[in-house]
Amino acid sequence: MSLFSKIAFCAVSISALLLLNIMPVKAEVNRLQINQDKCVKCHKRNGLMAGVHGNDALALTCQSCHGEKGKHPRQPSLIVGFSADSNTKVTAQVDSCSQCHEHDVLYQADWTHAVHSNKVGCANCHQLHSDSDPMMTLATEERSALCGKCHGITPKESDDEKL
Amino acid sequence: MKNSRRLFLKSACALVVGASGYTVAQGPLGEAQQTTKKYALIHDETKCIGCDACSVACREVNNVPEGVTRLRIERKGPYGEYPEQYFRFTRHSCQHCEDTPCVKVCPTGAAYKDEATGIVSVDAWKCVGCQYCIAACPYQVRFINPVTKAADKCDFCKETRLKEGKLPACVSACPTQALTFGDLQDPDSQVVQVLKHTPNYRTKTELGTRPKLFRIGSQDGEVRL
Repeated sequence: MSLFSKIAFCAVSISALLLLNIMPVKAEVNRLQINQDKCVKCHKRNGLMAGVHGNDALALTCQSCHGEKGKHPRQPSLIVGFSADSNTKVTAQVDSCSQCHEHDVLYQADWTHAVHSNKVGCANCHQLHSDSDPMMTLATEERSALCGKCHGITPKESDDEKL
Repeated sequence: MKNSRRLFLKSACALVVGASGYTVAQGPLGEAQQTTKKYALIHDETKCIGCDACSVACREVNNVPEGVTRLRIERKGPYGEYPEQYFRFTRHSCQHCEDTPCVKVCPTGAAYKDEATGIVSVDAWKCVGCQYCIAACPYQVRFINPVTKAADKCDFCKETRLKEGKLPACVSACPTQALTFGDLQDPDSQVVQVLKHTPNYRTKTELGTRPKLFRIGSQDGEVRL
């Protein structure tokens, strides 16, 4: 077997493995009830739900979190947006999550919930659409670094700062 | 004869008084000359957000094993009513006392105060693990390092970062610059400037330990008018 054919064989087998791994997951996501919603017709790229909140057993719809469509997209509407550039007030974003998540339970899970509840939207840290929420697997170092992202003031000149 | 004896007694007394006065005047001065630096740390509790970046950095830089720690941020709260809640954070680490109970009780001389920097340290190889220092420390910041089996605690990164001319790991790691480190002997140092201009406190000063960990109390008091 020449070197070229060896490389080609490896490439084919790796991509086949990847396809085998990804395809069923994608198909599964597409089959979820929430992803049959009419919103997905337009929001296929940014709207598909792969996370636990899309689980059929929860029977959530897009409207459960984002609110009623109203006159969207032709005219302004009261749709609750969670992205960083959303116009929705933080309190409205948090209220949406608070329909199910009680604040004292969240506090038990992590104390930082108590001090951010009316200052930062849940989606600033949590991601619901992706298949896993990065906050669920956060290492201690990453957690500290995340706090610094908002709370950090002008970084000191350098690590070698004089005494 | 009588006069010469009186003269002798007078001059002997004068000599003794003079000599003792000289030593009294020289004592503390001589000590101050020996101690070239007196490092201190300020923890600004109004700026601290409890992110633990300091303790994470400390563990990494000083190779502190899991299960023990040289530095801990204690969290109290939440205070107030949801959603206007807040916490108070206090630093739990060696206070680098001027009057050191841990050094006094150490039978082997492993616990010592470095005269050049004022930093209280441990010579791990001298420590026999008797734990007298752990019992004596009123701030309860000492522990037995499970790897070295010696008493261990914060030394302002004396053996790691200070040697390289860098600030202690916790000070550099703090994202909100809640920690200020410097020399108390230097009137121009940031530490002295902050202490001069900001109300601050130290804990358990009534024990006469003269700790060098200063704290700026969080603004939110429990009693409100």
